[in-house]
Amino acid sequence: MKNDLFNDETFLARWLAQELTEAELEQFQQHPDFALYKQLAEGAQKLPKPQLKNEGVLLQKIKAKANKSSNLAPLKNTSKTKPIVSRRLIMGILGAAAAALLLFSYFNWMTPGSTTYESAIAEQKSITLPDGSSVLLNANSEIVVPANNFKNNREVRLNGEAFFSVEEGNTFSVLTDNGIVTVLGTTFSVYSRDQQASISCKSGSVSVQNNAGKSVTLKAGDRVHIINNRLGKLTKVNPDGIADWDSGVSNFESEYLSIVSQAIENQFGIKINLPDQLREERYTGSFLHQDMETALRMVFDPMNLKYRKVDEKQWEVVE
Amino acid sequence: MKTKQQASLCEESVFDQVYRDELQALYRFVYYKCGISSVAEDLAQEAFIKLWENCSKVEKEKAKAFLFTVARNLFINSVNRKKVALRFEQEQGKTPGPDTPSFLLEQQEFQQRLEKMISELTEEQREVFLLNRIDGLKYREIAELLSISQKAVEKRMHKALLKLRTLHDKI
Repeated sequence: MKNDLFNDETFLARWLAQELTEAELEQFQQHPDFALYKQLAEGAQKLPKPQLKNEGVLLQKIKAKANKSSNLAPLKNTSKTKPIVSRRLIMGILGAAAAALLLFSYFNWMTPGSTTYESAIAEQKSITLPDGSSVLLNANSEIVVPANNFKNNREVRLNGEAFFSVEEGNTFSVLTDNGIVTVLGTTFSVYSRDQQASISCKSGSVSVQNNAGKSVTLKAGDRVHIINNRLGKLTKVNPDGIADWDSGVSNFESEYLSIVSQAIENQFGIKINLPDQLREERYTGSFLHQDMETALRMVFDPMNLKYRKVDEKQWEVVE
Repeated sequence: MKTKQQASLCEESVFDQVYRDELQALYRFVYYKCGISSVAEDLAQEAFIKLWENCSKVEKEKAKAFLFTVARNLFINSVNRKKVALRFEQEQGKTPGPDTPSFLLEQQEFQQRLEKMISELTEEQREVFLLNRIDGLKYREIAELLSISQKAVEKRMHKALLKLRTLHDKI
């Protein structure tokens, strides 16, 4: 019986096409393998139908290529499959890049864009950035660090005072309301509050740019001010004294009294009313962080300035 | 040479219609041969480029035959003609869950084995078998696409089933 069926070279094909005679079908149904053949044939019908997914894109490609090649060789009909494959590879790479970009922006949208670190009055905070650089925030300061891709885009936003120890790498920028400080790898201090900023470079070099686009490069021991958006002249300071406020003392070297006075305010959480004509007086010296009245005395006494308490949170400087 | 047809393929709307009608079938046609979707896509693309370039010479009714002939010739000439295991895209959510009834599990297992068996068929057997089973083409239609006789298609179909039967005991 088996031989009868399968000596016919098209028997199974005709069976699938329902072209068997009734007698042939009946005979086949008795066959021990009938159920298996049925299972194989029906199983194949249920296989997933392969689909090309990017129909629309492909059509554009076809037209672009067809027009191109007909411009180069009108009506000529040479068959080349190889270039297509390599073009395909390029497209694949572009596609992957686009996908990566998309994924990247997706993550940018999905995750919080930045982390903000704040230090309270009288508090100092040490922060390690994703690239290994470190920031020491002085009292009552705030720094915003982007959460993503920091190593390739080293940019922080600072309001207040901080000392930076920057690892070598891409450009590192500190954005402030008063201007931008850009470095490659160095240690420097940035003080920026209200309309005044003081930037000191302890090692390496940094570039400082004010909001008007004027810039200057600081080397180790250089300091520059930005007061009311005006970039000042470079002054020399002792690099060892830069940003040693982390040792419980704030040191100043011919610093604007307005900045020194503000440093006291932020250290102790008070308000000091400083007459305008005294703002640009220079102070050299230091104050201790332990005690407010001692600090006031250390700053104003050497300058022959008198000060008095207005209330718990307010002090007034008089000539 | 006829250059003016009622519905010329050189008209973009006509070409686009042919593209929509035939692209997937053409893609599968090459895919059944080699099991590599990127090759199938490339050759389908190339065939449509040829059709576009020759739009004034091909009647709309002959477009399908033209496309399949070009794709077939390109495939014969292509370097990728080596036997490659045909792998169907596994995106049907086949991973069985803990609650999957056992008869379904058996069915899924059978389908996977069947895919392996099909990839063991010869290229001629496989394309005929899948064009009939998956695309639902009649033997006469397959014969036209392959430029062979219907009898030859039926013989290949018969052989494909016999081979699957044999493979069933091995795989």
